Amino acid sequence: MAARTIAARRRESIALNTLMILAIVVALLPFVWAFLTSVKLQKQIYAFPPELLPNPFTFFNYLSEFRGGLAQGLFNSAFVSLFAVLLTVSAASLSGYALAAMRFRGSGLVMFSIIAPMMIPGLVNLVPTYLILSALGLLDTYLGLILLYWVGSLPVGVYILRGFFRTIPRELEEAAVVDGCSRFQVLLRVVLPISKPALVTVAMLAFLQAWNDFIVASIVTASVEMRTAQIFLYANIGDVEVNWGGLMAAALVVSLPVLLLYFFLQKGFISGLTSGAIKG
Amino acid sequence: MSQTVAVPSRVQPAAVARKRRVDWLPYLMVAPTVVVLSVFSLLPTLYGAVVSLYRVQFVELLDFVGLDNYVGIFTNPEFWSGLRVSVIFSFFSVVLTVAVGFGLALLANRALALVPTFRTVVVMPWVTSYVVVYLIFKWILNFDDGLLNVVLYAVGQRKVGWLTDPFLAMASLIVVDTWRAAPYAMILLLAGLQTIPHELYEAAATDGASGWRSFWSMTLPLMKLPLTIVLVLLTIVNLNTLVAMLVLTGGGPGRATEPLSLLMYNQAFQYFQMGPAASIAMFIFALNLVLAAGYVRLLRSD
Repeated sequence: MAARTIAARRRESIALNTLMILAIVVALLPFVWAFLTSVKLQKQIYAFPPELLPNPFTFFNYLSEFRGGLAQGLFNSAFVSLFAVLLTVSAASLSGYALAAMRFRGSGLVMFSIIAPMMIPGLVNLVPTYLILSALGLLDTYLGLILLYWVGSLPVGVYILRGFFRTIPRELEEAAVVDGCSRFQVLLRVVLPISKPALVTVAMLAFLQAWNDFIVASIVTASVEMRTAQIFLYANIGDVEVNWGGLMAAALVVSLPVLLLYFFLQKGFISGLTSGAIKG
Repeated sequence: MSQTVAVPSRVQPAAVARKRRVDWLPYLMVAPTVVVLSVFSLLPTLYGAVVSLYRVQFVELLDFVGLDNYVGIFTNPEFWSGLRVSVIFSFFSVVLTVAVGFGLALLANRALALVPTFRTVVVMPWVTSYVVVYLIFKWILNFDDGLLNVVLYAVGQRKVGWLTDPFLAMASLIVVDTWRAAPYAMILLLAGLQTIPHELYEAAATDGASGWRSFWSMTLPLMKLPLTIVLVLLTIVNLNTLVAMLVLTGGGPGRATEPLSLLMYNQAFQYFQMGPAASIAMFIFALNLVLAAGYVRLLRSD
């Protein structure tokens, strides 16, 4: 009897491991294939009969993509993402703290102005946003992109930080007030330093949203110089003869910052992304 | 805008400390958030409703036309074909994503040596951007030189028009979307699975219940709420999906994979028909609100 259960358990663990390996292969294969394509020369990509492994192994595609506008796209994406992150974290810290630790009239209305945007899909606001940006002269500008990315991650940011600040024991803040800190100083010197995990989560969320965005950038940017990295990728599909080697190289380079962030900050990353689940 | 926001954090504390009695501090602290969200999120939604009632030329509102734009879109066959595509794509993609995601979550919930690696790798498709994911698959599904057709050809089969056949193009979209979104479902469902105490399974096992049996009569009923929540959440996401079609199929062949979202996007930014586009957006918004209301009710009952 006992021997049979051990055998059954072993069979079960073999089956589960096989399934997991299968899932890993399915998840990785497209990336691997993109990489193999990116390090082949054009003539080998279209060779007949097809050749799976690169020969010669070359970084030619990477170099030519960087020279062909990828560098500008990466710079633009990094620039607007950075500002979106800074603005999101600072505005969300301020309002998150006010909502978590202070009593004031109209706080319910403030909560509404934060929750309501979470119910509005970005898609619904595209047309009016375009018209408003056009009226303000913000189309095809960094400022236009930064503002919209800021707006995109701010509601969830406030929500996360407000939740985190609420868990901080009031005694800690009261002690600082007794020591002569203003409440603003309490936020700056006491609350924020112990809120690093939540701040990192919000920052990551804001970065990811800005860096991975396509739709907002597609309506805001118009000129080639303003293209973000995602727009750069999309712009190259339209070619009559698609340069797949170059496109795959560029696609992998564009994904690299996000994947690196994910590998290094996995836990905060996942909790941050699932907290976006409240966004309807 | 960006300047007015940077300033309060430096200058206000002293000024505010002096006026402690009126206590403007919380208002100053929430001001940047409230202003920016009002101007660039709430106002656009209201303005969108206004635009949908106007005849618009390029970016100028010409005259009030009442519900003409709505009548226009509801009598347009493209709208109904778009709605059909939206519903078909959302339905099958959501069902498949939740099924695969649940399977992945059940695997990730086991105590096996491979689980940490498995979890890390499987989430990769989901952190990658839409554009990159669909770009890679556009290449894999390419008719002439894509990996799939190359393999088919190598084993003596004919090449398949994955993105040029109406049925296969839709199926490809659904499968690729599942590949991208299943890890998201996995993470959300895993959180639910982890709340089920281990002792329950042990008790069931000592009572002689098979793994299969305890799954059907224990895990599944306990996971009913998380599963429903993920289902509704993914439906909302999928109804608003746009980049998938834009990159992978361009809505084609014909209009076979053009959902309402893409129809609206093209009306607005290809043909500059802002009025009709705004009315399609309002319709999409109404769909979203109905689903969101359901979602909030689910969360409350949690």
